[in-house]
Amino acid sequence: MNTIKEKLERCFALVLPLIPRSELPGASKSSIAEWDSLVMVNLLSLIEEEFGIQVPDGDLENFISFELILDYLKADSHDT
Amino acid sequence: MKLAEAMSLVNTCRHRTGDPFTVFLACGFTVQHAETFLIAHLSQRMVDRKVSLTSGLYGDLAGSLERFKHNQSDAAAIIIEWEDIDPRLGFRNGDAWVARHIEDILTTAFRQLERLRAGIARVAESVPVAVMLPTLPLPPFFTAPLAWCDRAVLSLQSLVCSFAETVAVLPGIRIVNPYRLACRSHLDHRFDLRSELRWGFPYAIEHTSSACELLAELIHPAIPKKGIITDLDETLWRGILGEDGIEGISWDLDHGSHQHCLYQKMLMSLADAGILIGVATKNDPRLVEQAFKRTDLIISPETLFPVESHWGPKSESVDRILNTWNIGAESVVFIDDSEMEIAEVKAAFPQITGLVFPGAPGSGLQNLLETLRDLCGKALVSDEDRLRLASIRQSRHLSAEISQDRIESFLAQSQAEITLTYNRPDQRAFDLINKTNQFNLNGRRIDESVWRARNKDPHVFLLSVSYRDKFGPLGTIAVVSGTRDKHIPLVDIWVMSCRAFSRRIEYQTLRALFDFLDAETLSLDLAPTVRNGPIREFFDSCGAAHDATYTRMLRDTFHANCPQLFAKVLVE
Repeated sequence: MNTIKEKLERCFALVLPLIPRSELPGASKSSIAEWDSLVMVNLLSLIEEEFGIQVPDGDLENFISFELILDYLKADSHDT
Repeated sequence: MKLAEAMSLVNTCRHRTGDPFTVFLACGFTVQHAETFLIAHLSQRMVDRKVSLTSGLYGDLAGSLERFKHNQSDAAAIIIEWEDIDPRLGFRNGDAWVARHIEDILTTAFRQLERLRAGIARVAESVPVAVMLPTLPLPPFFTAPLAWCDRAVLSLQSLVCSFAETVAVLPGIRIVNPYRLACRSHLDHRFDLRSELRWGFPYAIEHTSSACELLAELIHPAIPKKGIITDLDETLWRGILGEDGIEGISWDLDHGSHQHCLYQKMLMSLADAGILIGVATKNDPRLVEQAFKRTDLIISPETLFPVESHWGPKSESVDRILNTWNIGAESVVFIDDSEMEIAEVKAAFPQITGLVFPGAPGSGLQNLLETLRDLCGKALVSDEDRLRLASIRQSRHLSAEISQDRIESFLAQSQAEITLTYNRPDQRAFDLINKTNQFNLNGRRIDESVWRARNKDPHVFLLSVSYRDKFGPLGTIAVVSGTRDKHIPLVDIWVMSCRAFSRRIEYQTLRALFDFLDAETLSLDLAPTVRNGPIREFFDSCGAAHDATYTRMLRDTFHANCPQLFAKVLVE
């Protein structure tokens, strides 16, 4: 069974295909030049599809790095 | 298709090395997932092409069409939503929803649709265009409760229908069938208000995929199937001929067998559009012959050719039918009520499409009828389509009658006429290039955008060949094209329908080509394919020489090897 981290890595790999897989866990909006608004839309949509959730506008502030998103998803997983 | 699958396809498509195929996507909203899904669906249909996309400006659909550059893409997908017709019909607009605006919206809509029509026509001058009419529900702007059809809503829908009717007649334009979309994307699940307000993208993911899938189908339609091979018992009719007898089989409401009537109607309709219909049945041939004499058959028995009726395996019947039609299994649908028979045929012909005739009426039957239309459908039915069956019957008759030593006298007496038409491109020529396999110089297919560009190029020549003899016309059966800007003209397209074999039309075409191009040598971009043996044998028989780049044909060598030609040649 895929862990939350593995599923998130797959989402990141799809929207940032040029970034080596090993670098994805350290990826952040400030460190990845390709992380523009289109990447953001695709990433959020993929995460919503993959995890079956809807991210409220107020939670989007967390979506600026792999680590913060992972924490958010883990917390969401515990909540449910 | 899920978004993850679409993105994976897009990433894979980026690494393809095939010819690029660029689509211009015009819509009023941000392209976002529409871009992803359109590339993904196109990349599935064009497995060797590197598909990419260009788009217009956000919020300015009409302007994007007006700014379209004629060499920027190979095709266009245009998505129109209510907001593009009047911004007040969108959700991101700040104007109040007040009834006094409605009349003005109708006036604006009329003018804007006129502008869109002109823009679409402009784009369609150079590339094929797929158009999606508004797919989203209108906002709850209008005064009537939602269960009522408001007069203004009807007026808006009427304006869009009139617009679509005038656009659909323009050459190169295909409009997505809204009913087909409704089958794949439920109206309630199309609009995503959260995404619209957050990103300016109004479509739900599932709806985006369905809409783009249909646009991709219109941009790169599948090659229609050329023939259907059908079973008889429990398929063309209800009952087992050998057990129930000729009067015991049925296809009507009274006997509860009307599904077979609908099937016959569909086959008749397809035959009328030039689809070949053959029969493979395990039956006594004498009984089948008598059953075909029943006057209440919906399908005309003359339409069914050939009829293979015996007790041997159906794969043998299919083999003989394909040989008579001279087409490949990939162009044919096999229909039987027995899954076992379909499996037996598919084991021998893996490329054939096998469909089960459903045992009872219902959604299975409707699916079958719709699938047949989808597999065999064509927007235009040409004269050649209508002539196909007659010419195949004629070819079989000729091949049975003519032995090799009698061919000269037969051709001399056939009263053949070949008509050559220069530089007059039409749909038949384009279709012939894209579906001919055996007599095909190199097997390459061309896109509509390439076809149109060639037709505008003054260096490109196009020769269409049509044929008739005392047995009847074959219509346009060959197309040759190439460039004449160099010292030695180069032929890179040469196709001829297999129905025209054995009449020496190819020799007369080559002789005419030397004269028309006033050339002593022709270069031919001949490349072997799995199935183009006939054209390679033809050039070998003419004495063509092959070098590393092209095949060369000298006029003198051709004349030295050319057999006697009998057909009268006319030039239009």
